[in-house]
Amino acid sequence: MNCVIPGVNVKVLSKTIQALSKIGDELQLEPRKDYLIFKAANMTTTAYCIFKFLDTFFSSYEIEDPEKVDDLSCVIPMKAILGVFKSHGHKDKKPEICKIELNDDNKIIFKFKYKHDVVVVRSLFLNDGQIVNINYNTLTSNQVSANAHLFSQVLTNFQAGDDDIGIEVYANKALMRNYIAGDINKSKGIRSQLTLTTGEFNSFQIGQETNITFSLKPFRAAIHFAESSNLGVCLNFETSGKPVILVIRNPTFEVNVVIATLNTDHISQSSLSTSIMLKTKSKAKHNMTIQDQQALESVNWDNDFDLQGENGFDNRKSQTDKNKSNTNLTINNNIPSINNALIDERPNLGNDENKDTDMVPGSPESPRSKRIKTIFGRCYETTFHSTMMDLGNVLAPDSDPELDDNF
Amino acid sequence: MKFRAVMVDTAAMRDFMNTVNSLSKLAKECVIRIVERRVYFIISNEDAGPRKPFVWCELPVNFYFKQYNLTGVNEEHNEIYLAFATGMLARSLSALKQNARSLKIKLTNKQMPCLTLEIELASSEGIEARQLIHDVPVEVISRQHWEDYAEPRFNDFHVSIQMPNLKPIKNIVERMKTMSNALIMSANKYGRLTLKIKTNMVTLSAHFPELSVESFAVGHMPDDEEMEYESEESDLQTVSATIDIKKFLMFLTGMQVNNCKTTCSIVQSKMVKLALEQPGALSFQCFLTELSS
Repeated sequence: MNCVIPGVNVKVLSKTIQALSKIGDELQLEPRKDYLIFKAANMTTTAYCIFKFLDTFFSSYEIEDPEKVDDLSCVIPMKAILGVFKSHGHKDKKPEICKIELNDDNKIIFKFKYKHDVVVVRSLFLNDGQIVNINYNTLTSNQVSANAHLFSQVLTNFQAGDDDIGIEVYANKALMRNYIAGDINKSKGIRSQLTLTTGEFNSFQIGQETNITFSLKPFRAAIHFAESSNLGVCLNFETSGKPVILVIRNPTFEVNVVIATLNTDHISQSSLSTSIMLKTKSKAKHNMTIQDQQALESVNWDNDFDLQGENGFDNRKSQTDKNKSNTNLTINNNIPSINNALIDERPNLGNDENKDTDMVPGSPESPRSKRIKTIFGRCYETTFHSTMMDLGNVLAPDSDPELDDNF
Repeated sequence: MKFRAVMVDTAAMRDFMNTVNSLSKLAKECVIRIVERRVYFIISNEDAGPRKPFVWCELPVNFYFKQYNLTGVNEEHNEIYLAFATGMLARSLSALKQNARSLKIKLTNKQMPCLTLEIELASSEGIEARQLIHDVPVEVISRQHWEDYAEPRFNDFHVSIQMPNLKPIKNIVERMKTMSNALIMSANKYGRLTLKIKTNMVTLSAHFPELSVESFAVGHMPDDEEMEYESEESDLQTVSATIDIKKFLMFLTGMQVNNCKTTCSIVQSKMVKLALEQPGALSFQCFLTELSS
């Protein structure tokens, strides 16, 4: 394969490599008859990013043998290719063209032509590796699109240390919040939430109100790329547990970023940690005077905290109690109760000055703790099974002593 | 305990953000003391045994807040003391840079005590508002520890002199810091402020003459040892103190508050107080104690 990229598009390609480097350690290159694919997936395949450059992106694009195009697919180490495209920061060293050559000899060659006929050639060895293909469907029930600048402004409100972002959509607005994974009582991070009305988006189609949580890192990378080319970003998603797909389009290329979302079926875990939270909080009070404690307990922190917040906590407490007896049942009960609480409190946000609510839904599990659970699954299973204790069932009847007598 | 305050004035919001930003450059942890008419930010000196404040910052409520509701521990002690991480509050407030319409600060209990900042942002189109909420975790300080954060009262300074523009001072002190860690600050009754470092190799001093002297305690005479050093200067009536140059530089870098009057007060060989004042809006005091060598 031979292709030539004009100077203006070299910048796009270098941003592409930067975005992909945030996602995976290996770059996968797949030449096709009339387009070229760059893609990367992370180790756990919870994030997958695919850039499809049409032949119009290139000033020339040639495939010698269209029959054998599949053999040309290759894997390049990300660190190496990042180095190839890194040195374009210098203003006086802007390449006029970039030529990519890919043959069967396990090598890929990048030729950069600068002013005054200076040519820099960089050749990289290819990795042995497998091309990952992930099937996904961009026709989802929820589609939200906006200029990348809006998302980038939203992201400035989150801290650098935040790992996950939660997006909650309603027919008329979207809430974006950060998620503090793991132990809530240990973390001392800022919790942030941003409410955006539909008017801020270019299009806002919600078929199903939902709440999804996914990793910030690939999202940041995608938004950063889109912002550098001043493009729009379309978020396609269904519900928690199903992937969210970011689509960025330009006449000459198309980007899809697929990010796994958390499956909030496991929300019972987080409600458990809330009850632990309550215990530790009471422990923390021990260094206060009695008067302080009374002041803390007798006066409500905010006006209607008792109306909704405590009810919410009570609900959860009783449900964690139920947890012990029947896990499956609680999972089903839990989600609607939290969702209801959320819907109840939202209308207060804007208009009513004195009504402030403090009900915070528990964060769903992070993908990391989930991964731990798949590896150390047995540790998280309940040690007691009712089947183990089921003594009433008779598996085989006692042998009849009377029969012996007949002998 | 209840606390809720609303800010709508852009200038007030900007000043508030700048103040918190400055605090975040001076220390990681800070205590906010909320009383009926004022909000205080207090940074304690980590190294001093009995807690002495390093920074004492006072904000009048009526300049910043349009609404202000406070219910303290009880009627007798209508105050709230909270400890928080300055960096977190500063980062949360940085959203005020983007075209904020209002800022609401509340004390809430969201699984842990939090200062909740509700910021209403005007969107780029300017029609609809964005609502941004940050919960900054805080620690409620119990009454038995309140006395650690008592207001410092010092009024026996030997000299109080107005400081010149802080920016050139910062440039000079930055260079001095590379050579020494102790800075001798001295002022005389004719309005000359001197910043001096002394090493085995070099003695370097910067002089700022003709500053206005606010007060000068007559009768203070430097002891013999100092007379030797100061003999080159015609005037013997000089008050000086040696302070940590790092902390002084921290103060100079941290204070990016504009149009403030800065006063420097010195107790002979004891301490230097730097006071920044924006009448009606801000009073900021920084206490630098004599460096024990």
